[in-house]
Amino acid sequence: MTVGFSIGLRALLTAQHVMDVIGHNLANQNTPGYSRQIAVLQTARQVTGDRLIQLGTGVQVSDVYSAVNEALLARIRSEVAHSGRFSAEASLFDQIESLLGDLTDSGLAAKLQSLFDSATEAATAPEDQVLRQNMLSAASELALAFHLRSSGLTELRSTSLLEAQTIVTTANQLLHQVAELNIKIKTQESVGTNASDLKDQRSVHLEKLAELIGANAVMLEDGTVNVSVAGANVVSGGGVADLAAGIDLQGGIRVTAGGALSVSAPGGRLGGIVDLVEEYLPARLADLDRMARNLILELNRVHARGVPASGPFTQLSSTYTVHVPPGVDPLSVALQDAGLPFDLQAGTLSIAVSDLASGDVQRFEVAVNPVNGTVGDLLDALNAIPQLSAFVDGVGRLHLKAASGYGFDFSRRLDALPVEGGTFGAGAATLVAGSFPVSLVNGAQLNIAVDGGAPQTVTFNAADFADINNATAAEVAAVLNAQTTGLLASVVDGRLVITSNASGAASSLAVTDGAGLPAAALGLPASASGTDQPVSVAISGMSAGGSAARLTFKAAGDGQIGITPGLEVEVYDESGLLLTTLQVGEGYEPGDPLEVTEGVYVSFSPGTIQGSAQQFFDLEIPGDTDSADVLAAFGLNAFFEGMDANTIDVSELLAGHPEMIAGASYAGAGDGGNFLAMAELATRPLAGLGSVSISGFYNAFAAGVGTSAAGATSSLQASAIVLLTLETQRAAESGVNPDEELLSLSRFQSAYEAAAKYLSVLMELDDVLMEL
Amino acid sequence: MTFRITPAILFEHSRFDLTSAYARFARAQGQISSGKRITRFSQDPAAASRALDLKVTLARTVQQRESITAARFAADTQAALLEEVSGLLIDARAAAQDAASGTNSPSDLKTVAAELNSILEQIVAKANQQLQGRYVFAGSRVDTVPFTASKALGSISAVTYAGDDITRQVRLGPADVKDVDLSGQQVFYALQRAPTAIASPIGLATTAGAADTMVGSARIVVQHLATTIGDGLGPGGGDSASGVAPGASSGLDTLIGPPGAHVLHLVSDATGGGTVALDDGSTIQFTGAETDLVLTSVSGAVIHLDLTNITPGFSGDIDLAGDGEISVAGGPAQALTFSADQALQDGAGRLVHLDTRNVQRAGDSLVVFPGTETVFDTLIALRDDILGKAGFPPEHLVLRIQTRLVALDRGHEGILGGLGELGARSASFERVAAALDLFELSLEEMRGNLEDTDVFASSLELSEAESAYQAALVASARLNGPSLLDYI
Repeated sequence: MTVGFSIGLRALLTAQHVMDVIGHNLANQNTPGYSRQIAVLQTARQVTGDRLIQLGTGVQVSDVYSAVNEALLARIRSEVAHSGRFSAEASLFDQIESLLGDLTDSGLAAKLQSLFDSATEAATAPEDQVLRQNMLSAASELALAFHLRSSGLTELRSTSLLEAQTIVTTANQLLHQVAELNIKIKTQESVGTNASDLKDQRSVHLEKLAELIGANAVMLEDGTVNVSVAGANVVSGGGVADLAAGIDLQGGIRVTAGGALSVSAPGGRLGGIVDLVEEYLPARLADLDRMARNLILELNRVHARGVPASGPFTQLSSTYTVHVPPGVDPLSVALQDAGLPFDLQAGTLSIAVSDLASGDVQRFEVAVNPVNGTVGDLLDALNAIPQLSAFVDGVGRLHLKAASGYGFDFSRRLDALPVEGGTFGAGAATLVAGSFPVSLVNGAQLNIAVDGGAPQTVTFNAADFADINNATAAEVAAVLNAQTTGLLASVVDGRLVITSNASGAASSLAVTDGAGLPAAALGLPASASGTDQPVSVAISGMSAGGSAARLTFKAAGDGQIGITPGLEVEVYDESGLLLTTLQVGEGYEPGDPLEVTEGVYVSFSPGTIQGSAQQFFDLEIPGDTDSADVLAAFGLNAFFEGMDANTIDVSELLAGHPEMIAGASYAGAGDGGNFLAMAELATRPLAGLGSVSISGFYNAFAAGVGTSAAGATSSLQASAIVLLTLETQRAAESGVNPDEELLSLSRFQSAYEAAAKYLSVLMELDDVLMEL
Repeated sequence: MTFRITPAILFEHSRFDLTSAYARFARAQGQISSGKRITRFSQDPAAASRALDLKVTLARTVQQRESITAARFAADTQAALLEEVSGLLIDARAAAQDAASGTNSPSDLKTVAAELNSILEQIVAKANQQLQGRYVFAGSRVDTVPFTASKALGSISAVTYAGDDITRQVRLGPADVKDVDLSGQQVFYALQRAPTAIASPIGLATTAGAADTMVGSARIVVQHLATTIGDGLGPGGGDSASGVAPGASSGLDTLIGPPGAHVLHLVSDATGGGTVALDDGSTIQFTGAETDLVLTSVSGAVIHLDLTNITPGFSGDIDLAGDGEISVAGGPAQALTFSADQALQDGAGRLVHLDTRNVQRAGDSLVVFPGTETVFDTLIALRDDILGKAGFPPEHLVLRIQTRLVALDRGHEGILGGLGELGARSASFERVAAALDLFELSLEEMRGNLEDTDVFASSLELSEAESAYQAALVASARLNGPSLLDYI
């Protein structure tokens, strides 16, 4: 009977226990991370009865366990970590895309095109100040668009760092909670107490940690977990190595664990943020800077070669300044070390110096070597140009100034009146010597008769020369001027030119050689006569670019322009190669332009030329007027100032002065050639951008951002589906199904009632027994 | 494997489905309300990239078309002005022809000259026309009055060009830049030389096909040097057979020509008197006592004769010859060679080739080089000729006017040439602008296909999305369906 009561009691208690578990399950069916618990029933220990019969003693709850699949949970945490990363990336990409606003009229692409369109429009009426101002406004808006995007991306880095720090703070709280739970679980399980609920709580924290920082968890036998981030242990039992996020030297986010250990590649949201801040955002900022830098460089290159509506400059200051360490003389540093934002190249700078009254243009070339040449060398070369002066002020700014009545520019303008010093078709008798230096004999003599007068003897003494064996044209000219009257000896384009002071047909020069044959050594013609019909030479057109050239025009005979049969002018290049022969005799209509080279024409007025007197003139044809990039490097006649997306702006010299835009490629307020050249930049492939246009580069930039954003969004969506599947699996294994639980409840309610009935019967039997 | 399904996961699935359905619904709704299928690159990076490229190209095309339209306007403006100039030149020609009728009184000629002067001033005004602040024919010096008229005694005496030869350009295509307008240089100075014309009452002619290099117009002066009568071996250097000798004023002879070019028709009677005529000029009676008889030919050649030594009874023709020299525009004088191609130089060394074979007498001629002077110069010269300012005999006026008209016509042709060029440019600009219009439409269509919402398709999609969303809502609402709890 006792055994029976014991069986009944156990049955009652067991049913009660199971119903408690069912109640716990039902109560926690919506608790995050809760895994349904299952009570395990087993028969109670048998007892030995009479005749050694083994009697059962009922039922008992042997265990209550959670339906947990640790492998599945680990898989879920892994996917949650991915999802966290994708979520962070998608969020940041979303912000970047909003910042760029590419498909709207306020996008950078639209602003860029607006600038080029404004240049195209200005070319239709270059004198229109409104159109010029429009171009400046478009440029300002473009600069602002660059600033907004640059500062926006920079700000995004800052806010991302804040977010990273918030994540780290939250993660640290979770890590501490995990550590605390580790201790509790270990304690409970060490005394055989079920710690399922604590484990479920810890699982929730681990999942959150996976989402935030991509934490991995390794379950240990004692019920604790070790947590690591990118290989760095952050929780071990009850110990925690706190995470910290700060900015490293490169501006990236540096995550450390325990104050020192570097966490190089965290996962989850933090990983997404770190990657974007360390790699993606800097790369996009660099792209923006690269684009702005190339725009500044290329537009300035074109603009610098143009001429403002007001004509050549009388003075000009550089946009950029020379920067040298304190105590260093700025003039002594090599150009490449002058701290200029853009590099100089080995090449030349060609400057056109104009006589503002006559319009006469002279070209001068300055050779530039950025490695060996110093800022001082450049200044010296500029100051050697007649009518031009240059200096660097105290803040390192380069200033150019023309003498009164002169102007300068960097265009490809040609010298319209190329004959200097009466060397070609002059009214006065003119003799031109050969090439220099020459070797003269000490004491050599020649006789020269001027305008039919008595021959004058000229003696060349060694004392008059630095080295009489290498006599220069200037030295010979000095001797001639000192020992003769009625003539002028000068050096024109490196040649010795002797001109009678008289003009007209009566003017003449006759040379006879004496001792030492100096006339032969000098290559002097025997005679020259003046004319009443001097020839005017005019150049028109403009260099088509390409290589620079210095052409020499030589009279190939004596005669009258347009009259003498077969009269020719020969054109030579610098190497002495005959390029072309111009027919200027009979059949040539004086004044008619003859093409010399592409886009360059020469015309001759009626008059007399003398090949026998070696008459000539030189013409400089500029190619690229700044192959050394001096103008762009110093920002001379610049359109933009600044050097990247954050600093780009319209040049201070242009702001408020639309007339100073160098829209002319030649001169004149109505010349819009350089506006067109600037507009052409819109489609020109640029070497600095990988041989794509600025628009093309930006399009690829925006498409790249869009593709990355789309990729992150797509990955996030895919991850969400995977997670849903995994969660479904977890629910299948660990979730609480109320129907199941209610069914079990009903079942154990019956068992409870049966046990109670059993006890009731036993008690009735016991009463019967007592009544016996 | 059959999953255990729990209400929690059903709710989770439902939440996921509701979110997806609503996102789809919201996107379809957004596409319709914004009119854009793509508003961000991430929505369709490839299409957005193409759309951005198209937008940039579209903006460039629109600007290019507007620039070309502006260029066309500029060309049309110039053409309209040149049409007015052309009309004025027609009026000038009519007035000059009226003056060349030979029936005008000096007062009438003054009126014509005044009309020509007025036309000249109007043409200068047209050439200096300003539009939108720019001088239309100034080249790139648009802020400078291009044609400066110098005045003498209140009338224009010269017109000079102060502009340049640089014109605006417009980009028609990637490598196709065209000039927009014409500079004053190109309109009024880009002249093509035409055959030289001459107004010579003395028998000078131009040499056909010769390469003259003189420009504008010039005065040719033929001066008489000496007259040879017959064999020149008679008394006083006269004809030995007839006894006709140079007159006392033979230095004033104007007769010029090689031997035989002029003939003296002499009929002498026994008393030494008779009749004499020069070429086909009037026959004059003489007595034999004349020492300085003046004879004039129909061509105007004049000869002075001494008939005191006439051979009585001589009848016959006596050959005459006149030597002379010729010069042009201050150039060196040279002896007349009576050749088909005698080249003369002016003071600047420019050439004119003349046919001097038929020179009859000394005198001035006018040589004009059509196509080498501006219409301003021609009109000034015409006006001055009509006013007699050049100092030539009035009877030469008609010939001079007719010669000047050749130059005026050539100048007019230059204007018409400019007009034609502008018309061609305008037509070219119009064609390109029309092509760009089509291109713009095409670009817009392509951009629209990529970027804009297809309203019909999106409406359908919205409807579908709405239905799906509603279905998801209905399904979600039924999640709390019957359970065991309802039946226990």
